[in-house]
Amino acid sequence: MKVLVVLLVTLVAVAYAAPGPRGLFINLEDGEICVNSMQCKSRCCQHDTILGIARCTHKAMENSECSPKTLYGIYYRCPCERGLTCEGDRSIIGAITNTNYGVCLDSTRSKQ
Amino acid sequence: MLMLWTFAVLLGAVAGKEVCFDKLGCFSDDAPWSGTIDRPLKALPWSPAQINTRFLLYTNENQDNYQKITSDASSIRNSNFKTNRKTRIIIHGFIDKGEENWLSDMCKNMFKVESVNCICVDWKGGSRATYTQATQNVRVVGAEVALLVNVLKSDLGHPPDNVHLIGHSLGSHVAGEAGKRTFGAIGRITGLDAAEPYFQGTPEEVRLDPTDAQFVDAIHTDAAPIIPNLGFGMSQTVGHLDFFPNGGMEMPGCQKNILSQIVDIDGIWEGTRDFAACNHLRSYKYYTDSIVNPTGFSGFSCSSYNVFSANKCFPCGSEGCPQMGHYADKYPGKTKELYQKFYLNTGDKSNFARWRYQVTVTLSGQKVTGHILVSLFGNGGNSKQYEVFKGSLHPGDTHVKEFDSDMDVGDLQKVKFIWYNNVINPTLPKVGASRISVERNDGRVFNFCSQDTVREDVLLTLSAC
Repeated sequence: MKVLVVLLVTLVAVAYAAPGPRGLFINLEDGEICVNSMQCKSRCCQHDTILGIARCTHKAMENSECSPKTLYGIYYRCPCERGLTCEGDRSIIGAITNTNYGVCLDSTRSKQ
Repeated sequence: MLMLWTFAVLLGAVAGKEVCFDKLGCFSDDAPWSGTIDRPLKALPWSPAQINTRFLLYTNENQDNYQKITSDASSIRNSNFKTNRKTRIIIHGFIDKGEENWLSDMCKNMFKVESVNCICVDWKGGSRATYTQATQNVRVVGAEVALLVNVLKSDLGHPPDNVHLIGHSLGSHVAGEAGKRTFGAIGRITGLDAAEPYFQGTPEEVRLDPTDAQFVDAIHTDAAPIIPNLGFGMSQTVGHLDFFPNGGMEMPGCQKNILSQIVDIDGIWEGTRDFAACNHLRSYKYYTDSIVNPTGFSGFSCSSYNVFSANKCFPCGSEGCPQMGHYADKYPGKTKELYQKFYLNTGDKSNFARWRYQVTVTLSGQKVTGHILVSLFGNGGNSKQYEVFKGSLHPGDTHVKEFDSDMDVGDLQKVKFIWYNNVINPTLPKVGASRISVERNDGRVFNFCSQDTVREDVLLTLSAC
């Protein structure tokens, strides 16, 4: 009986302490596992290898590596933040394999 | 008969039990170690042979494989231990072991920045027990560490002020015990989220406190109460400097859904540990990252985290900000008083370092509703875009925001401004920022101006005024 009470109290404590059930599929925070960028608040679902686990990641900042947006919805390199374009070489093979990498640059830089 | 019974009970209460170990002294189960409100269960520590404390030495010369040393001076002389170097001793906590990755990873980071004797204490024989028993075993492990420190001094001429003890959870109180037994002569103790159960609110002789070393600093990452939040760390201040990153209770990146947490970037084992005690384990991750980020963990003196979050404690004071973690001892005001509290924000995964900036934006152009973002450019690199304000954007209005950049951009050279809303704007409105001021945590202010305005999702570059 004593053990049962302790167990019950522990269970209640754990249930209370555990954060409320978080989304497994949508509105995912950075670091959470995804399969498509639409699931992520940041709008980028990124993995390192084709078979690797993908996680929501923030978009690429200026002067860092990027990919253009694709229909796949999952990236090795994230697309750029607002106002930036992913400048780099493009190829058909790259488009198919999602490896058209580039660098995020300011779209308005030519005006300066 | 009643008199006899009363006498026997009183005698039992007074006498208590005691156990003695060669070289380490005697340990009783009397108050304040047992039989108190905080510690109701009576227990005696296990023997040193049973706990089997081991000292695993890593040095710059043997970074991947440890050498076992003992408190016998000849074993130390036969090792790579160098008496002219600082010695840092890392002590794990409950259920943990000295050969866990995080201890050797912490050593490896130290080897990147200094030449040091890095000793990982392995007391898994005493930490893998009921919690009550483990808290008693802490005293024996503390005595063993103190014995080692004393041997370093007496036989090798290595002074205790060149020793730094770094303890996580129960390991913090091991360090405190070792410090007491060397009468506060140890140079520094760092408590990484010192364990709360059986220690919070206890007398100073039981737990880590500022008198245990010349300088004591603490990091609190799981300070919520054990009931009902399962917070394993102390909320009580225990050092000269006490850091409360992200408020000290809930760490960013610890609220992932279950699947994402267990399937960790570092593998399933690390993920399982994180699932069980993510907030608690963050303390040693912050310390490890702080070694290679000398300026990335500035703590701001504040009366509470809420006040810090309301941007009332920026920039640093006249003495600067102490760095949480490895470089806390560089702070000039470190021992001017006890229990100094500092607050800061960190990232949600390694690299956890962040640099705080205050940005003031004065708008120009047309009136719209939307969001404004700013990114910083300096001689150290450039930052992400950070949202400064959302709502009605009125020309002439000024908005102030503090954010924690994951890049130290150094001396600022320019700032970029961008705005957006998520509605169609048939009139193609233009918004600009006539002035953006950026203040760094050292108080230095950089001002940038522009007369231009831009359409939605177009970057505006502001140069120095």
